[in-house]
Amino acid sequence: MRRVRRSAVLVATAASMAVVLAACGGTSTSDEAPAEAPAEEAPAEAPAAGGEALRVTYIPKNLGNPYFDAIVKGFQEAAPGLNMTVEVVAPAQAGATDQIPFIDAAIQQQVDAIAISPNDADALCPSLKRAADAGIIVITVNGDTAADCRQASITPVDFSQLGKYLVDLTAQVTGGKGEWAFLSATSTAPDQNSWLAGADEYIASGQSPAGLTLVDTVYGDDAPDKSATEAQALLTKYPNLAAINAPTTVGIAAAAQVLSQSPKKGQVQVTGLGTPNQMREFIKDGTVQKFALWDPALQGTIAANLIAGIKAGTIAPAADLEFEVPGVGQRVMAGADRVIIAGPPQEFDASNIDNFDF
Amino acid sequence: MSHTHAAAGDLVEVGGLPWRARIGPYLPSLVVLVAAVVYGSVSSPYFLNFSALLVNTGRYVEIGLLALALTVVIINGDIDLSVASNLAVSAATMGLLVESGVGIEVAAFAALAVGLGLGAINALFIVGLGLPSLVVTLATLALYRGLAQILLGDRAVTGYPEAFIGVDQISLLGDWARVPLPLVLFLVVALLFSVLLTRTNFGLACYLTGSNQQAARFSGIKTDHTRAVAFMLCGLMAGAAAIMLTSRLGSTLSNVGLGLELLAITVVVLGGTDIFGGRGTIIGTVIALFAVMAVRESLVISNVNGQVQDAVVGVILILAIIVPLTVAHLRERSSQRRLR
Amino acid sequence: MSTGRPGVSWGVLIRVREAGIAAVIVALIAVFGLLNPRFLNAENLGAIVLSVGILMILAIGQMLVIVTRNIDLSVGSVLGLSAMVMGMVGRDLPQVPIPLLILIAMAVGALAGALNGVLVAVAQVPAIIATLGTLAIFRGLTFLVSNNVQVDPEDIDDRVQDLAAEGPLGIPWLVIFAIIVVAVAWWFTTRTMTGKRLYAIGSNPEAARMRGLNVRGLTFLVFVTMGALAGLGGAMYVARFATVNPADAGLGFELAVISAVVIGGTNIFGGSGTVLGTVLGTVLVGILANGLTVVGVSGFWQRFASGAIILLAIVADAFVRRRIEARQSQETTVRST
Repeated sequence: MRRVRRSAVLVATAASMAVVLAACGGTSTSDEAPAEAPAEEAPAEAPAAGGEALRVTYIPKNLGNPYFDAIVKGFQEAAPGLNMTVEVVAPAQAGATDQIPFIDAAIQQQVDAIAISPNDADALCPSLKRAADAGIIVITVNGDTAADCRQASITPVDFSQLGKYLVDLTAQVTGGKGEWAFLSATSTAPDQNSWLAGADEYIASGQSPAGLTLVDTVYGDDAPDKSATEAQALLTKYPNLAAINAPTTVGIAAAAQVLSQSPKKGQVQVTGLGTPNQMREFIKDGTVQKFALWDPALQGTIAANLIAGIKAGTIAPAADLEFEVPGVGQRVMAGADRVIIAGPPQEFDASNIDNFDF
Repeated sequence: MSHTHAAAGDLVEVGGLPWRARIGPYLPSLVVLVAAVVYGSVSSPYFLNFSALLVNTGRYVEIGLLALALTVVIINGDIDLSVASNLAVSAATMGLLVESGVGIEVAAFAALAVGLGLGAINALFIVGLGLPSLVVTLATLALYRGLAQILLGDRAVTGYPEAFIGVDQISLLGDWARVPLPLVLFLVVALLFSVLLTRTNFGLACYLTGSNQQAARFSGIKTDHTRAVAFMLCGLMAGAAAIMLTSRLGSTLSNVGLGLELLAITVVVLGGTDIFGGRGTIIGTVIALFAVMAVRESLVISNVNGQVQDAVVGVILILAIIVPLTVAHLRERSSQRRLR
Repeated sequence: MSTGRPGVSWGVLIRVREAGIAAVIVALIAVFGLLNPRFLNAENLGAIVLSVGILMILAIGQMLVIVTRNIDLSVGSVLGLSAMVMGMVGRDLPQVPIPLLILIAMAVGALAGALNGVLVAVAQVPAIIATLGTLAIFRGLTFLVSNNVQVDPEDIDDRVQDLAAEGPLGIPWLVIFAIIVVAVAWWFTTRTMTGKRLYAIGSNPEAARMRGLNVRGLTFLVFVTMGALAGLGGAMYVARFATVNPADAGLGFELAVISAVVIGGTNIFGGSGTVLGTVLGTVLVGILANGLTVVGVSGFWQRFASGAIILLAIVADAFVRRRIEARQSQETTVRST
């Protein structure tokens, strides 16, 4: 009797695992639907290159990140008008090598173009070069690799000025004086490191607001708990701290959350780069005065148009080439590295935060 | 628990025909392999591209090398969670040496030596001090990864000579059949491991140690020696995997190989090796490696995201253990009914 | 190796063990306090208590699992899944009262724990393999149920967030929940027959079965308890961090939790372990994480340090254990002559 029951449970367990397996497969196919659906109703005024739709794979750093969801939105809104289908796939973690299988798969699928937000500047190069050898257009979006591994790169704002901008933003919220610290992403994040270096340069140049003292730079590894621990430690280590500047969406939210429940709320300012949806709460309760970002969707829009242009032969990536992005305006591939700046930074405060949803 | 496990396995062998008994342990991974290939071919027209699949084996060879050595460690009744962190330290050492102007051959040799050394440190704590391998290697998982971070900081080492980069792009027979060099190397190493386990006294000692360490010791087997050698082999393979990985990527970061230990253990267990030791084969591990590869490749080519891929591998790992047990149970029940 | 009979020597060992951890904690506090006096200010200590609280709830559950000679690697993913479900219910159905939200998180956790329990107790899959698989499965499920969208702070009720800031007598509810879990676990392991049976199972499952103990039932129960506690931890995670990201929530918690339990003296092969030891082990891990950061140890060294501490703890443990076993065997020889 016992035996019979146990076998039944075993069969039931195995069956339920199989159902989970089927569910996983099922959802993955339905994931593709929204990306492809618009393409089927692609309007007649598709570019002359027309005929078969352009197949583009976009590989963000990882999934579940509202920031990259916004880039995807920009892509998908532009795609139908360009006779383009966009497939979005991402690895589980943002490790240096985790995107490689997805690049290789795109090569095998013989897509027309790969747009990627690289997790590592060097490790992806061999795979991206193989894609280029196979005749695939390769561009980087929101992050870059070596210039010879892609045709062009889209950067959200002028990264070379962002370090300076972050220092000035700190000055704005602190009234230009006091001790402040950076709470960054991982210690290996190339973007954040370049901004931090830019900020250091600006401070060393002596032109930064004289009353501000950068006392520390800590890393929250883009994990909420680690970021919160680091933010808390900053409050403890520096009793006179005036501001924490977190140039990462995970870090700024964790720092704001720690501060909102700390007696130092109001005394210490949190600023940096964050998305309006995750920061709205803290703007409204007065924990955060002002923070910044840019419109990530704009990068998706420009990327989609750039790919269509390269494919149609109307854009041939070259140093300092100027080109028109419909509905956006004139953009330029700056320098021999062909880096396109999407737009200016966007600041958010109590007066405008409700106008944004991403 | 291990006892019931073994008993159920025996039932399969007793109840079935000889051929069934022989392929029984490999059946789960063979089924997974076939199922994944079928799924991949149905869901994507790009999956059944033999030469592309061959080239992609390069990405799995590193996992495979770790899995081979882990098979020996697990047969011994131990486990090594620190292999991927060991790989990172070996790769970091190699990178720093190349950066300081040392030749790539010497640097590669140093990577092997460091891997072996870290394996020996594991052995020292586990065998020398008699501590449980699960906890020791959980600690060295963090310790070695931290060491890699201390060595490299947030830098990427990139100054590798051109000739060294891209081992996965070298094919043995030219364009005629693109069999990548790493795959061949892996198969050769697998053969060596297979000979080691099946044709040598060391291999026999591993199985006996894993089945019952005390009994093995009483019957004159140097179990300490056997286990220590297995951990050092594991370290050596971590060093070898570090060389392969570095050549494939052309750069080294401190987070290289993060999480590979779980994939490698999954491969070993899917291949029929008993997690409590005493049973397992190299052939099983090799088949399981290709099964896991087929699953991953068929999912990635069908545009399935990373987390879902991991979840599918998790389900398969569990099913691979439950289904044979269930089948054995059902068969036992029906044979009992027949007797009545 | 010594079996689970709590003879005199075991009592001594456990006391030596716990005194040792307590001494290390005091030493660490002194060192960190000397290096940076602000480590000791009330606000920082409060922050340590909050982060230790979540870890503690999970560590108590993990200790019970390990005592039965099993392990649960999926705790971080279970925490993530239950935090996500609770966050989504709170967002989409704002009228659901807070206590019910917490119960929902615990129920999701218990359900996940029940799957682990069935796999280990009924299907006889080794715990390390079963939970290695469900670690990935529950993380994948978190992505599927959330449709890859995180729950933002504005979608989380302020009263939920207050659980990590306010409570009776000024003690945050998060801390009170942790204290209740510890107290109940202490009562359960030392004062109830069922609790004591867990140790018997862990010391020798075969013997326990022969003695007529319901090994399967108890193992299942322990995994369900672990799941429910991970669910409670998930609810507290939502309260403390006010964001639930499908990729980040609870990622890697299993390592911190297992470290805390092992440092607390629980034998990884089952049969021994105390609530007090686990509490001390958790506090040690929490103090270490905060203290290393506060005194400015570079992030590069932190992982190395945490690995070294675990290694040190188990080496010290083995040393003490062997000394006691040696003395015990000496005593028996003396007595027998």
